[in-house]
Amino acid sequence: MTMTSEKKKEELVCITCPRGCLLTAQETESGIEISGNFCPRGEEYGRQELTNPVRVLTALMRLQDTEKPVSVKTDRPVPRAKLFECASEIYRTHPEAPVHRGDILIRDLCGTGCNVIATRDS
Amino acid sequence: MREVQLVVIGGGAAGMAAAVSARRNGVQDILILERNDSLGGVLRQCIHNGFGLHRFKEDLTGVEFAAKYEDMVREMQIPFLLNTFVIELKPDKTITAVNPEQGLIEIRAQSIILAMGCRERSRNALLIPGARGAGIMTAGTAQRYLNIDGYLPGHRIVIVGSGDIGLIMARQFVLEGCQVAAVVEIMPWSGGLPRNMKQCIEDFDIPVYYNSVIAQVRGKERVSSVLVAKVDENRRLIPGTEFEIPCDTLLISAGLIPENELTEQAGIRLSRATRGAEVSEELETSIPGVFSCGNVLHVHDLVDFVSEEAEEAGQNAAVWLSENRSLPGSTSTESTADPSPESVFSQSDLADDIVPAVSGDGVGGIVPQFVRRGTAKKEISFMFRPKNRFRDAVITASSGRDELIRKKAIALTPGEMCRVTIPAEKLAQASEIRFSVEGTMV
Repeated sequence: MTMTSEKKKEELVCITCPRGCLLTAQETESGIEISGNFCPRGEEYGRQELTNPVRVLTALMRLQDTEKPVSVKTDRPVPRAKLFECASEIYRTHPEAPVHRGDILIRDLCGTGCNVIATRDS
Repeated sequence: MREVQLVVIGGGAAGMAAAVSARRNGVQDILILERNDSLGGVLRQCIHNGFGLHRFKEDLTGVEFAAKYEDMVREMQIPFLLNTFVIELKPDKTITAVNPEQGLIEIRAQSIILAMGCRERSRNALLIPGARGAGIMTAGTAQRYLNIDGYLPGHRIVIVGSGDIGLIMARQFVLEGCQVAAVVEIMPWSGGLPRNMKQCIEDFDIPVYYNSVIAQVRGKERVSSVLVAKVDENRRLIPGTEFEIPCDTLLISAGLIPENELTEQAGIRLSRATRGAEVSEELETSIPGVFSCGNVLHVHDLVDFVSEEAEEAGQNAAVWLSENRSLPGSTSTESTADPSPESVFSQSDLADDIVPAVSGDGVGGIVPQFVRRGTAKKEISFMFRPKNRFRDAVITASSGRDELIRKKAIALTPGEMCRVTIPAEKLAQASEIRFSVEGTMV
C-alpha cells in the first residue's frame, strides 16, 4: 500500500463491468472507504485497486505446426505488476494442436496460482 | 422461389440472439444468412474479456460469448447459410443472395430481422492527408490480422481516434511487445468507455493527445511517421503546432457506422441521427414485419445490450408472424396492398397514433424513434447518447410541461449510451417524449 500518514482521496473508474462506476476512495482512520459504487463488486475493486491491482490477461498462443493462433485467458485476474511477465510466458508456450475451448494450457502461470485456458478451439 | 417464415440477415451477436429468441417464441421456419465463413461476426476477433456480465452474469471473452450463442443456434438446429451475401432486399420482402455452392438464391420472407451490424469509419471518412503507403488500417482490421490470422501488422503504432477497438488494440499491442507511440483524439475527451481508458491506456502510460489530429502521413512504401497538430474549438488545425511521431503503422479507431445499404435499398426509412432504421417500440421498421436490431440499428457500447435488443426483436417478429399468419393468403397481403413503404411520419392520418421521441438539449440518437399509442408493452426502454460530458447530470423525459421521468447520473459521456425506461401508462396522454440532459459540462 502506498498510503502514508497523509489522508489520501482518489478517484477511480471501476473496471469490473462496463457500467464503469466513478469511485471515490477515501482513506480514513479505520481503513479505505469506497463510495460511488453501484454494486458490492465496486467496493472490492476499489480496495483491490489501491492495494494490489489485478487484471484478467487475454492473449494469443501460437500452437506447434499450426498457423492460426488460439485465444487464451487467465481463469482469474493476475497482479497488474506481473502482466508483462505473464504475457511473455504465454507467448513462449507452444502447445500441440488440437486445443479445445476450456483446455488448461498453462498451470500456475508465473507463480500467480492462475491457469491459462483456451477460449476457442484451434 | 424459396419461402421462409423468418429470415435473419447477419449471423453475428444480434442475428444469432434474434434467431434463438424467435425459435423460443415458436417460429419454426428460420434461416440465418451470414456473409462470413462462420457465425459470430466481430466477436470472433474480440479475444479480450468484459463480455456477458449483464447477459450471462459471467466475465467472458468475445470469442466465448459468441460460442454460447452459436451453441444455442446449433442445439436448436436453426438453419444458417455461411459465405452467403445478400445483394438485394426488396420492399415486398424478397431477398436475393449469392454463395459459392448455390449461386443465386431467391427467398420470399414473411418476416425479416435486419442484423447486419456496422463497419468502421475509414481513413477516407476522416480525410487524413498525406502519403498512402502500407501500414494504414482500421483498428478492427488490425484486430482481425492479429487475432484470427496471427499476423502482427506493425511494431510502432499510432492510433487516431479513441474508440473502444483502438483502446483494446493499444493494450494488446503493448503486451505483444510493440510500442504504442500515441493515441490522437480530435475531441477534448475519449470516445471510448471510461473503463477501457483506464485498463488499456492509463495502465500502460500510453500518451493521449486530445484536441489533436493527424496533419500528415509520411513514408513512401510504408508509413514512416505522422505529423500531429492541435485543433481549435472549431476543430480547425492550428498552424505551427505540428510535431512528428515516428511509426510504421497508423490505426484508425474513429467510430462505427451501421451498415444499412440493404435497408436503404428496400426503401426503409432511416434516422439521420443513428444512421439506422427508424423503429417503433417493437423494433419494427417502416415496412411491416421487418425488424432491426443490434449495431445495424444503432451502434452499441456493449454486446450484452445488442443481444438483449435482438432477443426482443426475435420475440416481436414471432408475435407479428402469429398475428399475420392467420390471414388468408398469408405471406404478402400487406405488401401487395401497399407496395411502396411509407414512413409512419409521412402519413398524416397515422400521426395521431404515434408518440415521437424527440432529442432535447444534450441528447442525440434516440431509439426507438416512436411509440405506438395503445402499445401492448408495459414499459419502453429508450437508448440515446449524451452529446457532451456531464457531471452530476439529470436526465429527463417530458411531454410539454409534464415530466414523464427524471433520473440522476453522476457522470455521463458520449462514449456511453444512456438507457431510460418509461412505463407505457405514462405515455397515454403524451404528445411527444422529449429527452434532455442537464448538468455541469466537463
